[in-house]
Amino acid sequence: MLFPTLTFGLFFLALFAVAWAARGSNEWRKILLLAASWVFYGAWDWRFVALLIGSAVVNWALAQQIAETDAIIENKRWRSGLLIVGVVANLAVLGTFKYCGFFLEQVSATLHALGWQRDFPVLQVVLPVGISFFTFQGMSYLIDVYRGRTAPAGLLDVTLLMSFFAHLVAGPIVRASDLIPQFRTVPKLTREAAATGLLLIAWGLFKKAVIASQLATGLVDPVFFDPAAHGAADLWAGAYGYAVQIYCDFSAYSDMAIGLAALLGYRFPRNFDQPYRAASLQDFWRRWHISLSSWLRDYLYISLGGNRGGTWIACRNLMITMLLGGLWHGASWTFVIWGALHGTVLAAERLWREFRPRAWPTLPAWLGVLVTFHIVCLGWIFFRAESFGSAVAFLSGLTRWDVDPAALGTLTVTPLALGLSLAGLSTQGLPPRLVEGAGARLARLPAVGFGLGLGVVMLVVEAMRPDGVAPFIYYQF
Amino acid sequence: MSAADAVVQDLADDASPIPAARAAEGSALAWTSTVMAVATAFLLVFNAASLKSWADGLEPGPATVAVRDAADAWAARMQALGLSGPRDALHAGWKKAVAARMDGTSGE
Repeated sequence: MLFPTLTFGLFFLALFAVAWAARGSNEWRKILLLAASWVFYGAWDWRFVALLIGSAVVNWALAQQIAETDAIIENKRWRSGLLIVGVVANLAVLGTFKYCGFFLEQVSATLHALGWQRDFPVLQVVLPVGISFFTFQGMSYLIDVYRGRTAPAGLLDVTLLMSFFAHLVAGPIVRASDLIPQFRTVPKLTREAAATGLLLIAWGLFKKAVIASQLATGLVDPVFFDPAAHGAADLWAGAYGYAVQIYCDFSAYSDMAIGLAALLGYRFPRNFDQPYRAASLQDFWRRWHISLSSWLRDYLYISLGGNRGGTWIACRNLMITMLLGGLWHGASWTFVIWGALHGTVLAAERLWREFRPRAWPTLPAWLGVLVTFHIVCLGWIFFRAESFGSAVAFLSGLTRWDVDPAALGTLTVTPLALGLSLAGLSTQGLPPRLVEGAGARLARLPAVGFGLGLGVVMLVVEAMRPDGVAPFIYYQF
Repeated sequence: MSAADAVVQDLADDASPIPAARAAEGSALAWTSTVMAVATAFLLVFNAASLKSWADGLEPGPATVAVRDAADAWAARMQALGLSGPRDALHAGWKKAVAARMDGTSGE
């Protein structure tokens, strides 16, 4: 069930009515939300609802055990053991579904290279949608309880935290400390929250259904499918187009998730903050997929030692974190290279900050933005390419300037694709927090006026969207 | 500090685009429901083509036949009344923009 479909629209309207009708009992309301979330998830594959429930129960039970064990010295080993069991269990689920096939392929290729000709079984494991998100969510709950940053919660709250349909399949990764306190009472709805939520849904729908979908089908997919068949003009447009597509696609999901949760009375954290206006890669990661980057920082980078061992250790930790962050996206060498590129540049930025001669000038902000954007685009080429060879073919084609002015009509890039890329990029230059500010102002309108305006916006989006809708890019992760 | 003593805080004010509710607004639910009902009714009237397209894509079955017939009849009625005109005009303009090539010709 995809957000930008009528089927989901009807599902949500019914849930909105039922959830608020049940506001007399918080427990029943949460049970209804949980059941609805399982229906939503089961629409892909009912078998994986059991996996979701099992994962929640295991994390809840281990967290309870950790919380009930006093943190006295004799029990420290037992508590650590429970945490390790939980983390390993979560990683085992992720590894089985996501990395098993990749691992066997690599082992097989290595053995073949060494002359040991044995065929390994080919595993066709179906990847449960959103598995990376809900396992990370479960792990963060467990670790937070262990560290004393979150109080242990009841089974219903933990299961709802991990299953809540709004963030279930593509984030944001909402921490227990952010959401579970909101589950304790029936949430309050305000006009400002509802207006902001509705605007985020409409804005997300526009970014996904109009900008991202059109760029994908009209430019990015054909160019990345066969880069060798395209000249430099199409490849440059495709690279920039993908940067806009992935931003509009992923931030649209987050916007809609935040908006849907807001209409049910819950607040999710911000997940994007105009990332392409970042003047360094460090700044980029404070603005892009914020819930994942802060997860990696808190549970991986800091666990590895963070900055505590000095500059070189910090650089090593940055590299490891970004390599694993790349692998989190999928079992493929292109994701590893993407992570390695980000890790290398983050480490280089750190060394530059540390060892830059004081007399040397700093980079002007606009140049920093330009350089950072192009490093990010370079990473996206590996991220999007079907294989390493395809990415290399794409990069080598960027210098193939053989455009015949008489044959401009044969280019894959079109005026609309250029216009949408520019429109997507120009959103980065809008005043920060624009939607929030608009929500606060529009909440003062009469309901009928706001409803009519919303209807007009949705009608325009509907008229511009292609038939059907492709799944969000991050569903595959 | 043991886990049981952990201090749990709600999401910080600036951490979410959604403003925190300081107090319940009695009229907010009615206001939100009205907004959603008006927008839905507006789209039902002016965007009947999407309803028809959705119904056509449903799995064939006894229940869906009735839904499809009703959606077809509704879309036909809205078209007859000229209410699908704005969407059709916008959609035609969009298709033209999609087909335009870099040399100014139409790819169609």
